[in-house]
Amino acid sequence: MTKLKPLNWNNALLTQNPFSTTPPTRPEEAVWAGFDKLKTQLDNLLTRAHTTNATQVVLNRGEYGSGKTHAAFFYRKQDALPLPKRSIPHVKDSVVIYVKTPRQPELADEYFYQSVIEGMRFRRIRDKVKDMVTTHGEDPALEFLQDATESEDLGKAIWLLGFEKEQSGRLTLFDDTESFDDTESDDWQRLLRSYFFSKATSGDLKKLGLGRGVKGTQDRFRVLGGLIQCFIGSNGTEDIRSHSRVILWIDELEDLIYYSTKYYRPFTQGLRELIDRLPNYFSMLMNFTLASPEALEDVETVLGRALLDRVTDEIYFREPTEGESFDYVRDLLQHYRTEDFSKKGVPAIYPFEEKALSTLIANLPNRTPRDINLQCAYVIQQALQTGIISGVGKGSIKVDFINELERSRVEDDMQ
Amino acid sequence: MKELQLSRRTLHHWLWDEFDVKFSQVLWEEMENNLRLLNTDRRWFRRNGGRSVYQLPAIDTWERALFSPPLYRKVETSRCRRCGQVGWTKQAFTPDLNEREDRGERHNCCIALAALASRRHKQVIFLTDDSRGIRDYADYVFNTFPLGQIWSSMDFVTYLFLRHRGRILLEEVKGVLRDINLIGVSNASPEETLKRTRRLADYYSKVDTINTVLSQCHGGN
Repeated sequence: MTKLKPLNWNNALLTQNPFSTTPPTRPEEAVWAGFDKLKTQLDNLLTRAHTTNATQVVLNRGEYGSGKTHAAFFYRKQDALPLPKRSIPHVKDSVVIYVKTPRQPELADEYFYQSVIEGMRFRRIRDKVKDMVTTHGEDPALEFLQDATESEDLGKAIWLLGFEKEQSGRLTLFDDTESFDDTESDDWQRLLRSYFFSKATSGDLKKLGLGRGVKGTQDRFRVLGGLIQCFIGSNGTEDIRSHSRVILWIDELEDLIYYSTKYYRPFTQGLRELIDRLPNYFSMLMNFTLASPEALEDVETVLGRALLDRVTDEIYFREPTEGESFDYVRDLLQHYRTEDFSKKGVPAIYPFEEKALSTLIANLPNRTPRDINLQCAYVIQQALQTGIISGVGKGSIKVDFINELERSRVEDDMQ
Repeated sequence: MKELQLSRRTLHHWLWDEFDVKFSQVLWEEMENNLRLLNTDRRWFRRNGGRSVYQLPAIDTWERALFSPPLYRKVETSRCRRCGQVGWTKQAFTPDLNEREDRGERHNCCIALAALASRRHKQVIFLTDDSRGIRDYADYVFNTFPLGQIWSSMDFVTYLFLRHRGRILLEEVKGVLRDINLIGVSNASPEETLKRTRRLADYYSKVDTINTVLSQCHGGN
């Protein structure tokens, strides 16, 4: 039996394994490699999001492992969002909120609601409400929010987020420059937090001066509509520069197939209402995994015709060609090079030789990024552990080694 | 079958109204043990369920005759890495007829056979959502003896829509199909998600077609 060597990615002139098969844990770690056409499509979409006012409903569809979740993670990085040139009018800022489709249907609306609120951050919401009150005045802001939520109490609750309570009991505009030693104000904010997370007691409601709490799916989606509207801003629709864009990126929507009718209807109704309540400066990107040839029929079955009818754009995460796969691997390797790499004078696809990488790609049964990553990671690991790559930049992966691994795989499959 | 409703009637009631329902004593005993899970139909079942038991003398003899080894079942062996095509094989197996497990399914097969052999019935619809029971027993019986068809609850609901489209709304029937499609979910793997999505899409397509065709023929009724 061959004695395996320790796995040292530095020998392949790499800082770490570039071929991860799970999304990064933090958006900052997400890199984009290859898939230029897809990136252009997404960049164009997001550029339009920043330079026009229309709400977008985007269906991102593709096979399992085609990079939809990765794209969501990548664009969550603020520096990844394509910002238009200064001369072109654009929104003042944008926020990307990533939410997974809840796996527990009976808690779906609650989990979704909490995830969106936490994605927006309470402090940022407070700032936005405060801005609204400062710009328009207390009463018009209150009226605007009550209209947005179609509820006096829910609208008022959002409005209250822009204030803090002094010891005298008087409400003053929230001041985020003050330190946190004001316990009265902290208690006030805790009360509001409890309110929005449906934990408020009747005593809390009394202190807040509100008649009712946030109850049920419809209320939750109304509140979300109101909070997102605060983020977006309340000036005239056409004035792009005075608005923000909210991008809600929902992953794994195919899991709606596991929702019974009792939970499916209110949840999808909520999503539809959210779109209808926010006709401007809102983007909802829906990731949907499908692998059958009857893809569109499946999407309609799971999402429903009503939601599908609201889709304004569709992005297909299609399988890359062999050439595109090659470029993808080269670009990905580039992101993880050690400092030694440039000194060694090896090709950009090192530790692969060109023919070896082409053969590896041609042998793949499916060519999703996940499949490519799995195979590349496996081959390099084998090369490092069996001594094909014996030191820093010493040795390379040749086509014979790829063929040998493929033969051994076929033999394993036959057994 | 869950206590789902169409046009304010549970599927159980629809079933008994539409067909001459029969099942084995063993199955009835299993059902009796689970009656506490029912709400609307519990009392009705207690009162009437026993009447649907098909009394087949010497059912154990029928069972031994019908399910003597070798029995074969179709099992998935592999999936092609390139095209995703599933490879199947016939696998021989020997059911332990003394075990209670699956006896309800086996006895129902015996009843289906006896019902036709007795000339009292011309065709049988074997209603089950137990995919393992179908694979191990019902497929073999219904492929060998021309008894009729195996239906799932989704087939039954589709049939109800065809028969009572005037009373049952399309959206209502789709909601019930969605709920039935969740029976027996144990994991949410990509393959399982695809399988269930495809199945639901198939049935949606069937009821959509029924709706369209009948609309054209009956002018909306």
